[in-house]
Amino acid sequence: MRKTRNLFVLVIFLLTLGTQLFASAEKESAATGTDGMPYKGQELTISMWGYNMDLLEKNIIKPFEEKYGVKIIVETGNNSARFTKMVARKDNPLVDVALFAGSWAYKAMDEGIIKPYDPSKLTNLSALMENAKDPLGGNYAVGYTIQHLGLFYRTDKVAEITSWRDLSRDELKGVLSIPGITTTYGPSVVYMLSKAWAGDFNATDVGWQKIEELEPSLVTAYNRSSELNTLISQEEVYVAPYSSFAWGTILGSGLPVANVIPEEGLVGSFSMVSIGAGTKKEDLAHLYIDHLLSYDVQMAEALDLVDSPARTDIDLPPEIAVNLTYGDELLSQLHFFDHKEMADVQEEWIARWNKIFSN
Amino acid sequence: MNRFHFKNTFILLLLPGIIFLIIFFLSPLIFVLMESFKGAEGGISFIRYREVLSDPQFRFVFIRTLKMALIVTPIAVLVGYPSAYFITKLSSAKKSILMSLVILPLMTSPVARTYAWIVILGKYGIINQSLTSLGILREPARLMYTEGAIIVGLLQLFLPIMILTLVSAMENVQDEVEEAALSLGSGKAGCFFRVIVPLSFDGLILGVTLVFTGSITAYVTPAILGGAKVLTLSTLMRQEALVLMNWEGATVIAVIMILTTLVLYNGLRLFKPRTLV
Repeated sequence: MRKTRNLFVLVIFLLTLGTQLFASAEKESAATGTDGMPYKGQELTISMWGYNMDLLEKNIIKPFEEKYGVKIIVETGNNSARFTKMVARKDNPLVDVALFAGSWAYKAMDEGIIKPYDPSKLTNLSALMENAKDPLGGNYAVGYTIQHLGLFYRTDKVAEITSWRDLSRDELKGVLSIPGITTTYGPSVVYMLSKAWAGDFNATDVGWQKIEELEPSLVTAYNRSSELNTLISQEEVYVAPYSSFAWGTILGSGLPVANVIPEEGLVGSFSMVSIGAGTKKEDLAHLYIDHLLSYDVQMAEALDLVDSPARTDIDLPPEIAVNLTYGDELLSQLHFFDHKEMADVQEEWIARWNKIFSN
Repeated sequence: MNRFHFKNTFILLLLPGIIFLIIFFLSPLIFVLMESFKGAEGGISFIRYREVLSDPQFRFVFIRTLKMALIVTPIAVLVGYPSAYFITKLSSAKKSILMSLVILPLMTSPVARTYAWIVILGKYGIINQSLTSLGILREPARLMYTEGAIIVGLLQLFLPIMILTLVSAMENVQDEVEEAALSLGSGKAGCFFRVIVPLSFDGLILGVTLVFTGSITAYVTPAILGGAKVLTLSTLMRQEALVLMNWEGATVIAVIMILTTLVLYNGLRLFKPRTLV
């Protein structure tokens, strides 16, 4: 009986030892990789927009997953929703890489939900436009794609649009839309109207007065580019300021549309990518950012009319180039507004907007 | 002993539901309440309520939301009551078919249902095309991005709930009661208003409360059909919470929504026919 008991204890001991050895071997294998993929099996959480998701999957996410054997978890939403989520989870962050635009990237830096990147880990950084390398200062973000806010119009329905002043034309009553104040480009509309009517971007009281005058002419104000697409395809809207990354889809509607560089120029901005504060996968996060900046990804995104390249070495065919934020002539027309200033006035401007739109 | 056993079983059956409600409903509700009364330097304060209630923009949005809910709810009652009465009088097979038709929209995503309205109410949508081709309108009318569009969308969203609630309540009214009223000389209309309606009044209160609460708190339908030009309480609350990060302001709006519903619910109970109290 005693012999049986001892044998039983020995078997249990050996089993436990075997399990421990197997588990530690597995852990080591996961950490170092078994086939030259040091991050194989890991997950990386990206906070990003969901617009053109099928193309983003094809051009960015899938190639990265296949190259490094990792699983990308995507958290989509507009700037404000994702920003708020990250702030709410500040003490227990889940996001490894965050993509924000304009003043939202500044607010993310200010709020401490993103952290500086290490330039030495981004091999593609040197290939970017100078002002894309560190748009916020302090290496908090990289501008991975350049965009602009332009004006489009239906060539079969309205006369040519050449200036932001044209938005006040009588014929545009009931067929006009502008981006809402909480969107990336919402505040830029105020600046552009100020420039158009007062000759000065900073004469924003004039811009606001014009917003008030335009309000009755608006079908609605859109809060997502996908909303603008619906408005265009349903033929509700003939003229609107549009984000360049949506131009491919607008063209896809098959309607006769044209985009213009207005007299006042275009609003330029970078979509920015940052490392999530508190990430435990900093190296992998840097790899993802570097992948986003790589030649192949930037070229594929441009060819699909999703994102205009922030790299300077991308040569695009003319038929593609004309639909993107690309080329010296167009780039020279871009005005970049101060992110901090936009973040500082946000609350006041939203209240001002609501006052106009609630009456 | 049997009674004791029954009591224990009863409590055990209730327990999972009660625990679920405490964790996922009561606790967040208490948190929202506490947050709304939190002063800038701690302690209890009404300052946030004063700030929100004195804001003319909030008052405008509150009145607009209330107005739309007060339009949607009576229409749902007027359309729902005869429909529910008709359904309860059908044979079992026919009733099943009609109930399936009532439930069918509830099985579709509210987003998909709301987007369908864009096709119907759009500038070149079905309604505008019909009216212009019949010569009733010369130009397409603005139907989308209006209060009217939201009201239509909310009505479609909540009418099935009203009908379902009323059908459940009317099924409890025995046929003999109705027959007795008719045999005692009451007309069909009199029987409906003096017998059926009072006996199904609890269902009506529940239906009205659900439709009213749904109309006041709906987000997707007002956001899509109303757009940025027609702010409602829920779209305003989203803006406070997700854009301005003003959680305290958002909690005050949430509490005001809850209070409004409670006032309606208890107010309606006062109108309950006395004979049944």
